[in-house]
Amino acid sequence: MAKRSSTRKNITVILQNLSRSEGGKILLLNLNCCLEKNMLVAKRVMTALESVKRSISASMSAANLLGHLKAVLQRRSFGLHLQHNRDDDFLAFASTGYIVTVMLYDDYGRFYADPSHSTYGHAFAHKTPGTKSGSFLSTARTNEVFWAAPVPTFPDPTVVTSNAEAARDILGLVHYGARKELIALHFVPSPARCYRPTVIEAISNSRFRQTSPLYPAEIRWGYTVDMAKLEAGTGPKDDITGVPEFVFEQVLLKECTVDGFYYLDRTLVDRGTNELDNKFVKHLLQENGLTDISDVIKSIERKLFVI
Amino acid sequence: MTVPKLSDWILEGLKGWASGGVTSDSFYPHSFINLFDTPVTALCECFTCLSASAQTRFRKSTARALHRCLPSMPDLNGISLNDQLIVIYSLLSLAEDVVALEALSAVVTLASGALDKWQPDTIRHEIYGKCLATVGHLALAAGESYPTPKRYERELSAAIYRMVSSVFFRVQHAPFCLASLISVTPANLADHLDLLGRFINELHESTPDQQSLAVHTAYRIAKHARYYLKQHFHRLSFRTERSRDTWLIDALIHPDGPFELVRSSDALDSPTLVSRDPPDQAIVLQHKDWTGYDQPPLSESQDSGKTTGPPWEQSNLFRRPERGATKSEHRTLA
Repeated sequence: MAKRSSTRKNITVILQNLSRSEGGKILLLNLNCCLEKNMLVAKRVMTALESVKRSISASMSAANLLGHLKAVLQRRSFGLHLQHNRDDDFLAFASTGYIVTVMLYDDYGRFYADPSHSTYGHAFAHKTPGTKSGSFLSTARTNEVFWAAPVPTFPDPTVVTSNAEAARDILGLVHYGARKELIALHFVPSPARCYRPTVIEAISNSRFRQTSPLYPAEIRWGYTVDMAKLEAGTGPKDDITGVPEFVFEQVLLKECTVDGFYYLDRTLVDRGTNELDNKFVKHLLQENGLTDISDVIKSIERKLFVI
Repeated sequence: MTVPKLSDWILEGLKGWASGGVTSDSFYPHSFINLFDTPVTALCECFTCLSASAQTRFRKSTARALHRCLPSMPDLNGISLNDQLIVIYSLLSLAEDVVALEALSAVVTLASGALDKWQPDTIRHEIYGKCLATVGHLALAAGESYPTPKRYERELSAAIYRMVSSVFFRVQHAPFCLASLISVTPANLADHLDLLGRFINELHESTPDQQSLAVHTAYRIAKHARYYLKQHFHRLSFRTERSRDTWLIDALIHPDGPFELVRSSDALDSPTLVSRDPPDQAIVLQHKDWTGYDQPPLSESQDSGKTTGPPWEQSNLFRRPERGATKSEHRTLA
């Protein structure tokens, strides 16, 4: 009984620490939604959070806490990470064309680009938006977990070949701030190992939304948050849904059907401001039918501790 | 953190990240690293926040970690060859981003003696390319902004010269190598042209779209080695179209190039190159080959009796054969 009480206290401390930052609030709101829809097993969440408490300190910054949560909760041993396999739905997701994932130009240069691109000529390659390169390193592989969206679902598919700002906004890549050079990889991973994303895979992305109000019953894949729509919107009832998205396990590019890497140019503005974070929190609160972050914590606690 | 400990941390962390299944992840306690797409991006970000002395330690640690990736060292044993390459590429990239000149010898060793470990040849080409890119970018960074000690200037030049002598060197690498060399040791312009001018000329002749590349090179020379260009001009070889450095003269006074050719009537043998940007900076050239540069082709002067257009259009020397011209046509034009 005493142990249970201490577990509860520890978890409450983490939830309250999270509620101090906007990024943490967004995580809590998505966690609540995830538990509501039974997409995560409450007991496993408790075990993982208990483990996190052992290694965090009270003085930890919000960013460090999120990084810490990411490192711990994404451990396979807790059975929370990549739990909703949707390989069977992959064909429906990408049947009409390639899928796209976006990366920083620097990371492209480090881990994907054929070295001849920077050593043939002057390394002053003309960076024209839309420039495509089909060659890559033999070792090139995606991140351990990567996010992707089907190209044909974009209202204007050319944004993911030549427009960094629009591509970043539609995909909800809030961690790419202003003046970031981006590259889009268009390909079909084979064999596809894809999953319906949950809050666990999205820790640290403060524009993730567990379910879109437009498609509340969709269990096959998630939907991105269109950051341009969020910024332009006037209230929490506005539609901010972007495009469908899956998460995938790491693949070697030489085993995939690769269309190419497209230079998207630089982003213009930062969509990760506190003001926009706050606006997004209001959206999520409204969609969850809650009014305050303390209600969210209570709601999560009820779901975790009632069992 | 001391240099050995820091290099341990970097290497072990990258190994853990590359191979995934490693149980102890040395990046884990530093939670912020998890917020970046790759740990290299995080480390570069972290580097920019360090004090000058900590940055020096970080550079040395990166170099040390790279040394430990040489095939003669056991540190990468236990992870797959593919993962080893990912670690090496990460460290090369890190060395490039933090301008770790201390890593030069490890990079050159990787690109030369240590290549036998990898099969097939395509992988070796890749590793060589990555190493060349690292050395080149270190030289470019050193030349652009970084206050480089003399010792490193010599080492950078020597490293590039050594890489040019590799069997994996391709003629397409030549302009990049020349740009890197000029950045770090502009005073040795003539030697650099001795080494690479013929490759660039070859590239220039075989690929018409290399024109803009040559103009870029000319701009780099004008920026970094303006004084030495004047000093070494007599050592340039541009007597005929196929001469080693003709491409350079062509690019220097090309309409898009950095200079305009000006010749006053009382100094026919010593024309002047006038800088377009900034204007009015002049280099007076004294070279016997210049005598014929602004002479119009015989047929044109007979036809019209006067010259028209800029010198590079009038001179036979600057007249390139049309694409697809036969060898005999090419010779005639030359």
